[in-house]
Amino acid sequence: MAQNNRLWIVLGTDYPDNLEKRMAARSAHFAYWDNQKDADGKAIMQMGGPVTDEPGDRMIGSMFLLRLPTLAQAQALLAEDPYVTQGVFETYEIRPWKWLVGTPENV
Amino acid sequence: MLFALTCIDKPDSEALRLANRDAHLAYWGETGKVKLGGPFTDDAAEHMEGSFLVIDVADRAEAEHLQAEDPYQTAGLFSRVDIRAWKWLLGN
Repeated sequence: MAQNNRLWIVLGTDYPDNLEKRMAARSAHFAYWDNQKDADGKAIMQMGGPVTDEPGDRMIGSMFLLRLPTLAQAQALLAEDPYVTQGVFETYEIRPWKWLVGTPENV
Repeated sequence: MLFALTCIDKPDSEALRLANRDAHLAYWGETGKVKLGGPFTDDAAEHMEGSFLVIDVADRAEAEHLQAEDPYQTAGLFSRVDIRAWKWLLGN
């Protein structure tokens, strides 16, 4: 796998009862990741969406996938995510991952 | 609904993982529930250290039931399993 195709799973867990803060930061979070492109102009975020409660109507976290060469770059970009800077996530973890099943053509 | 399964191996368990890998892949293939999946690795991408899957099931009970029968789980590979409901908004 080429170095520039390394994938990183991000799991973010919100502070309890933090939906108001999440909603306030949400459009900034989308805009932030929209603007993160690699040298070829391709999006760094490959997929993503909210973690929810079980009825599925209350957002309580995030799971998304980044394509970047190194963990240090993933950590640096995460540190500036509005969900981090605006106190939405209580914790988050970044884990290197290989997409084996269900891989889209463009990853 | 979709559930994201984050499964972390016990330390130094790659031999156990490899011994059960074919059974694990066959098991999930037969369920027909996997939307995406693959292994977590170490930072250098040289060793597998866990599994991450998104499965499409009715509810948490079905997700837990399927995970409990994963050959990796029955072999005692994982130190931690985390199951979260998830909505696929981007890149689907």
